[in-house]
Amino acid sequence: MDKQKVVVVLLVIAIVMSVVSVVINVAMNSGMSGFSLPRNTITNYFYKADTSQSNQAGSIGITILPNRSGQ
Amino acid sequence: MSNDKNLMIVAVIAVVVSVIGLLTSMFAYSNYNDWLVGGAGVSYSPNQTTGIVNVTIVQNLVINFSSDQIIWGIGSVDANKQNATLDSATSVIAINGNWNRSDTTVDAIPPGFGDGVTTPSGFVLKNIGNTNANLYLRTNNNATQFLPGTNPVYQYNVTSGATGCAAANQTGPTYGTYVDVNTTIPGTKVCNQFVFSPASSLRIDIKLVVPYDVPTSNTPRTSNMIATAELS
Repeated sequence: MDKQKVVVVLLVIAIVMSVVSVVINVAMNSGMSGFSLPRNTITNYFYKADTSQSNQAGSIGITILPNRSGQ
Repeated sequence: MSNDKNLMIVAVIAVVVSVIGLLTSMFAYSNYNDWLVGGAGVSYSPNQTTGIVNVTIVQNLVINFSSDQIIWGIGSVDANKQNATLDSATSVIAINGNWNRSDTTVDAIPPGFGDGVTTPSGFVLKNIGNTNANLYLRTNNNATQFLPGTNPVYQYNVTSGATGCAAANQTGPTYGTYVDVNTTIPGTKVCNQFVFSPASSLRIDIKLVVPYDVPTSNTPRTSNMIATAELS
């Protein structure tokens, strides 16, 4: 009777470990739970910089003198 | 009794096989995780290794006046004229005045002190970043503030290069037409998608009508054209 219990426990352990193993393999092969990147992925991140504006100024210059008629 | 023993052996074998399978799966997962996060890397065979390439591209919003001056230098309105017209799009020489941009002479006799351009030229604005931009234009003073006198005019005129602002994205003033400057921040929106490209450009010309009665001075009058770009 004790041996039978031991056998049952061992079989349960074996089943649990087999299930865990299957879950891990399925997850890696199907893209579940963060395993979605292929092995040779080059990861590119693209985000907006904090600088949302760019300002530039050009200048206009003119010097206005009196004309020779005495403006 | 014999059956129990055989069953026990089978169960032990099952456990051992399961342990081996589980350890194999966990080892494979560990390697896979290293690939994802760029860890130390794992050799899968004696002549094979793995490297990680990781590049981060930051959005860069930059506009620049590649031509940022329109300097007419010294001059005066001709006698008996109500005003003089200075148009950067059509001439380097004033109408009804003696300003001449091409004359860089440094003395007190007009013309002189010009920026030296010999062909009509305005501001040239480029999008040298890596993203398209909404573009606004304004000045820091209006016609009356810049040229205080009788009926002064201070206008700008936007034209797009072959690459710059497509017709469908042009807003505000009609391109190629002079309109009064705007001093209100952030300015007049003139383009919805100012294209980023080394070839991208917008030209902005300036027209001044200088009244005869603007106060004269040896000190230059200056105004700024301010371009503001925002992410589109």
